[in-house]
Amino acid sequence: MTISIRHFGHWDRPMVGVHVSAEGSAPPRARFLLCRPLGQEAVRSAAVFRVAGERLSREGIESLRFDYHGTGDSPGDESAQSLDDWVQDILTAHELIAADGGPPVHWFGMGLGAVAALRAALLARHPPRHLILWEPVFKGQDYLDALIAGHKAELSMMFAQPWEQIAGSGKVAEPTLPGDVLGFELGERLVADLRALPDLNVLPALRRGLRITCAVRGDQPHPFNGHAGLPTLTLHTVEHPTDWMSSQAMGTAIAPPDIPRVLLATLD
Amino acid sequence: MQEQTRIVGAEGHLVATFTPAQGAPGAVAPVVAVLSNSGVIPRGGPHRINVLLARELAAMGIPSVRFDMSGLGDSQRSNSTRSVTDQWVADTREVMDAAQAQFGCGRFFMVGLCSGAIIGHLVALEDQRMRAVLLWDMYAYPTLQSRLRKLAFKIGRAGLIGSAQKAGVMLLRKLRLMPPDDTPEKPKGEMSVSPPKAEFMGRVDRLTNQGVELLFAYCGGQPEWFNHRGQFAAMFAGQPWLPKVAFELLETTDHLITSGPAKRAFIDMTTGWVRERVVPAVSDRPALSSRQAN
Repeated sequence: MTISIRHFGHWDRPMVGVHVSAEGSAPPRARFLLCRPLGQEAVRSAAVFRVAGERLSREGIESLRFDYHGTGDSPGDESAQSLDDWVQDILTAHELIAADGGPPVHWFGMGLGAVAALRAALLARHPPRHLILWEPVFKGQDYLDALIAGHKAELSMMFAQPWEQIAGSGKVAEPTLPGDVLGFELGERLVADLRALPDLNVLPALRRGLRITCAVRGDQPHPFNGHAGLPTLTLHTVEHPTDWMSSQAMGTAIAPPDIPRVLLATLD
Repeated sequence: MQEQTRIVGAEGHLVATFTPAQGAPGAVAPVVAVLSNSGVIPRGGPHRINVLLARELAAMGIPSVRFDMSGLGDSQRSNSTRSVTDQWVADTREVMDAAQAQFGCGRFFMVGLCSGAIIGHLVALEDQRMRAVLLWDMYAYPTLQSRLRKLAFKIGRAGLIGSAQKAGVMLLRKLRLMPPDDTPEKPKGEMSVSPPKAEFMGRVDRLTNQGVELLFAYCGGQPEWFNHRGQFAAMFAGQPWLPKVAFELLETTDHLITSGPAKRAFIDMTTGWVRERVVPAVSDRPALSSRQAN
């Protein structure tokens, strides 16, 4: 397996990514574009993306994982980003990995990265063969509420005290949006995008001919159960539920093994 | 500022991001910052603190390299049979070689976050190019007062009734009138165990005698472990090196530097230490090559 670093993107939205080549001398069977979630979820799921890249490589598949502009190791102002900006970043990364028109390209998106990938798939000139949405954000306001709750839970754990006690001691302030939540600066544009985010809908992408796999936790009814009979939609129940907003693994898998398995299943 | 991410090291398995200093092209930096993982968190650092710090340092004229140690973040595992600690020390030295070639400066300091602090001080013991280390939430040893404060904290958190119930359960278990707590103890990794205090004090003594600047910095979020300003002097009382090292307690900052004000406090502490202690200390000493540094 060989990894290489790719610096890419328009001059005003530079990004950095890690390309993992396919093992063996044969041409790659497929290519995967791996789209990270945002903020703490991206930090916490970093091992998922490395492990997925390694596993895909062993199966003769190339991959590219990257940081959206203004996130991770990519340049840019974290607080000045929007969901639409990241949709464009995915399209730019897709152009990079699909530039030579080689084997089919599949996309994997996690959390808010799944939402951005679904939107990008509707805009791509040559859409991906298969799109995997892993624990996507279904409702923008629910996601914002979860970030606020995650912020309080994280700091309560860090200070080993209930939120009310640490807030009362003046060590922390009530989180607000836009603002600094769960360790990352959510700017006005992103918060406005999330507040206005319609419920996740896969039907337009399915009508475009995409195959979609959607993975959600089993502690809630699958929001797409009503579409379960559609031949191009696969529903998956996450086998190792993980709180990606928490910095602590708390005994859960650092890289759940069903993720690479589901990725490989899309090649069948 | 043009950051550059590259693959470095003899095995070609380490991913590192180089951030040049802002300012006059060709100017030689006084020192290079080394930033790395905290536990399993990638090279960007907890809540991206290493990225923010790299940009602040660049504005001060100090270049940096942030990298993933073997098996962490984007870096692959090494083929070596070294222990994890020895491998990460070797990784750091290889990244210093690459940074020295890139920036033309053989003087380094490391911002060691948690497990990174352990690696940072071990590198400084082996490699004289490492002239300063910030030790964030590294080893702490209990004192009488820290134990009493820990008890008071636990009582305050659980309340008097809750504390009395817990004490009752402990007593009943001790008298074998209740089954023991059979919750399996979490396995401790190589990095989770503090060395004997005398051994650690010996290492600090060696480092300070070599002129290595050390900043012991603790967060305010670990009241069961390091819980008051006086604990530092008390736990190392009588050590000849005590006046030579710097100490900070950031009361409102948690271990992973989560909130905006916590990040600001951490960055201000670090840049202040670099400006006031690190740069003056390294300026009058010659740079070494990696071969000379052993």
